[in-house]
Amino acid sequence: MLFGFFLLGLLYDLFKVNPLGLSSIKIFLVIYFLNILAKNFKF
Amino acid sequence: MRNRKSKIYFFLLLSLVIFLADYLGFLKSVKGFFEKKMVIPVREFFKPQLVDECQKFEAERLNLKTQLAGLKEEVVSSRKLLGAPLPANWQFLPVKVIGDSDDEIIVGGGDREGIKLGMAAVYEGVFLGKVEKVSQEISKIKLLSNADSKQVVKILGKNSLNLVAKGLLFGRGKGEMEIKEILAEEEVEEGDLVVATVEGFDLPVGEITGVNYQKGDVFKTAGVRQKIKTRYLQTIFLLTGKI
Repeated sequence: MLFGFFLLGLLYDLFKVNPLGLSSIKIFLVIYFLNILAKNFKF
Repeated sequence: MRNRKSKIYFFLLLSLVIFLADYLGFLKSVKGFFEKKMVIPVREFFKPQLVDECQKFEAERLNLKTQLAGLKEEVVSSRKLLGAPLPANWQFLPVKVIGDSDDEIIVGGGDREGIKLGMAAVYEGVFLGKVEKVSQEISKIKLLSNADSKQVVKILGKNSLNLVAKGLLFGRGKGEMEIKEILAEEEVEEGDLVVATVEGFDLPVGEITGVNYQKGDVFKTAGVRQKIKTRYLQTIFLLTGKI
């Protein structure tokens, strides 16, 4: 699943002419903060 | 949970490494390979192939109008003699359009072809926008109708083709544009021609679709519609420099 997100980010960058890895970083930061939220608020 | 977290860190680190490597240019060949073998074919597959002849005529019409204005002002005598729509000393690079979205165009040419940031994109003499991002094999062009785009423009009267006003053109998305900061006393009307100065030469952008003015306002605003439907463009030209 995480690997899928990672690939998705790279693909998005390639197709949108962005610097490679930029979207992956954003995706993982979002996942990371969602993780923290889930832990603290017990969704 | 711990395993998942370490995986997140691993991929985050990997993304950072890839980002830095790309930023420093270490991934040029890898990126070029994927763009050539994957991005360009996929984008071309999904791009509509319909060639709209009306587009060419519309561009030609606008172009002729601007050309006429140029002649009237007697700016370039050699252009008068030759009847050339663009300065003869301009150098262009033809690039294939491989995709478009949200008032942007993706073209199949990049760093390798010598495309640089800020180069002007032109189709049949009509100014489309500027190069915003450049990769190895592909580049992105931000159209004038893009919501982040702004450009100083001149407005020429539809009949006289004389300069009637100046203003700042803002993109509003979906091919729509708006000119702000037109002085209230300047006479602008529907159908007037909008031109942008590129390298000292006026290129047509579009036509005024409507003027908004409330009594007492200092400035007028005017709507502009892009006459070229970028969706059906096949090849455009980038202004690479002058001889």
